[in-house]
Amino acid sequence: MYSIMYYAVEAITRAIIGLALKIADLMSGRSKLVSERRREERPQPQWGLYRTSTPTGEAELIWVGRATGLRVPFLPASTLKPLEAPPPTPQRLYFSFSEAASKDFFKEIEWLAERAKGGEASAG
Amino acid sequence: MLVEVEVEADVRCPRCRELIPKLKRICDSLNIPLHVKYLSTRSIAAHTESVISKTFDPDWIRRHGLPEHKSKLSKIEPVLNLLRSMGAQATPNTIIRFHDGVRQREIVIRGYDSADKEKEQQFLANIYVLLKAIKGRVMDAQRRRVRV
Repeated sequence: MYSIMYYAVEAITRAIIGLALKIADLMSGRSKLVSERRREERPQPQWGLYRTSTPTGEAELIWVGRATGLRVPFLPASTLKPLEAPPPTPQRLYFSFSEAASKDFFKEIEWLAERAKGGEASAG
Repeated sequence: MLVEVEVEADVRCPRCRELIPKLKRICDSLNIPLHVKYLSTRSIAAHTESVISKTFDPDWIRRHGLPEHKSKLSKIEPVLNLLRSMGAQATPNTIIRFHDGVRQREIVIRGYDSADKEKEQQFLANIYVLLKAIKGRVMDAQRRRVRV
């Protein structure tokens, strides 16, 4: 008997409290359903500076022109190697066999070496 | 590499065949390496294979040649142009290559003739003395550098 009364009171209390909460929600203007905000789809930029990579894996910058759409690739300064000067060509002194077989061969070498020092040599 | 001798040769050249063993004997006695570079006229750019062939170019003679070469150029220019168009190469060429501590230098001797025995002996003696002097000078420079 007591248990029937207990459950009846509990059910009535739940109904009253639920109704009161629902009225409070309606009065505050909040809806229970919350939907995800849709993401804005921004248009892809059609021009500007893009960072890409070359097929060999080096970092590369590409400028895409606004009016023309021209793609101008250029490497960043960090990846550029400094230019190396070509190795100097050896200084050569040319002799024919008859010159080399003469007794004045060493005089000719000295004469040519002096000319080479003076900058007017036949160094090739 | 301090001193080395290179011979630009052709497999069909009889003078190269005579020169190489004689140079080999000299280089062995002085302990200087000798390389034989066989030039081939069948290569794609035969005219670039040897550093010597360009000296037969009229333009090279006009720019770097000696006065006596320049004076004879007007007579021999057609022949030189023909040689250039053929891609002809002169063999044997003896190149003595050394580094004197400042720059690499090369002494290039074009041709060889064993017909005149006196000239041939003089040539071989000159080469021997030259190589010995160069080796001594180069070794001195090397010793000085090591001491510093």
